[in-house]
Amino acid sequence: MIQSDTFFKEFIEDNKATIYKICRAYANDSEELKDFVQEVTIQLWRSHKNFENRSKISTWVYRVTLNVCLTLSKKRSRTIDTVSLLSTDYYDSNDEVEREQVATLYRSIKRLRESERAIVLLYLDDKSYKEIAEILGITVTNVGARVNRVKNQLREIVSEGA
Amino acid sequence: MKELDLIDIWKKDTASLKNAEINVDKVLEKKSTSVLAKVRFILKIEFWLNILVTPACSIFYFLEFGKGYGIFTGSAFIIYFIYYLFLIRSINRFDYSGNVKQSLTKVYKYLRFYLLHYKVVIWVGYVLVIWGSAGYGFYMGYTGQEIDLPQSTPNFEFTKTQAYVALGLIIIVPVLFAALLNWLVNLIYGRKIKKLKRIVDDLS
Repeated sequence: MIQSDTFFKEFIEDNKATIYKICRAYANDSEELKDFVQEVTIQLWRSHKNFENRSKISTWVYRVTLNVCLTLSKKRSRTIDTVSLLSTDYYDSNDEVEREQVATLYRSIKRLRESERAIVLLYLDDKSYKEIAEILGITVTNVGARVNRVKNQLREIVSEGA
Repeated sequence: MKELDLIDIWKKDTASLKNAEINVDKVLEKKSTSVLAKVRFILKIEFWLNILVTPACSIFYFLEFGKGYGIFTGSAFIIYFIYYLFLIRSINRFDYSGNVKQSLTKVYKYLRFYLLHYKVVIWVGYVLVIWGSAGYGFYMGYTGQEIDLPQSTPNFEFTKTQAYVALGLIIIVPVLFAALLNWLVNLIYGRKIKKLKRIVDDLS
């Protein structure tokens, strides 16, 4: 449980990758990405006092991040998304293919519906069906069926090259 | 592409996030930009405006029309304040840590209720009240009838055409104004409400 500001900063530092990745999947541009990350941090701060260890910390982080992104996200503009990989992103791989694969994956995720995006993000982060169900508020059976469907859909979009 | 590949590609992205910075102190100095924070902000403005205006109205009614009117309007305004406080408090207490379906359903319900609140305020405040007060004033002025209240009643000398025009304006202008406000409120919140409903339905 988070007990102090220092602890909260460390906690954000530990979870920033999760926050950024989810926000990036919903934001239309870098400004929006910044706003989403900011809002998620504010909402995590606001709700951390009420966090009672009834769920795992990661479940809580995913819930807050997804809730904020789904509430804030706007209709995608017609222009090509610019957050797949930002020019400011540090990328330590020299492998251009790898870089392109990541960008294609983000572009493909963005072509899914908002709810499908949430499912696929949790699947890609290797969450168990039980945890996905807890985060989304749906049954485990439902998660199984949805994950399979969305996974296939994503694979098709990725193979088309998004 | 194989199933495992997607997860593998996804994991490779951690490298691109090393430079992602969140300055917690700086971020926490900023205000929330969530739709509920905006709703709460507007409700607070309304609340304080009402706090300033309504007691003055109650005192005016009390002095002009008598004790009964003053007490009645005062009581109605107190109920109205409690209602506002309830709305603000329930938004204050909301946090995003519930599961996605539950939280989005709550946000959707808040927004839908808020939209309904505005529609009622718009149609009651701008149509019924204006129709009632302006229509009554018009009737008194046009017919020159005395009323039983301790206020002076002006006598207008309208021709029939002028009277029809005035009556038409009294009926149409508030409706047009209310329709415009209604459209604006729908424009601001309607799309968001529909989007949230769609996501909740998708998860159901």
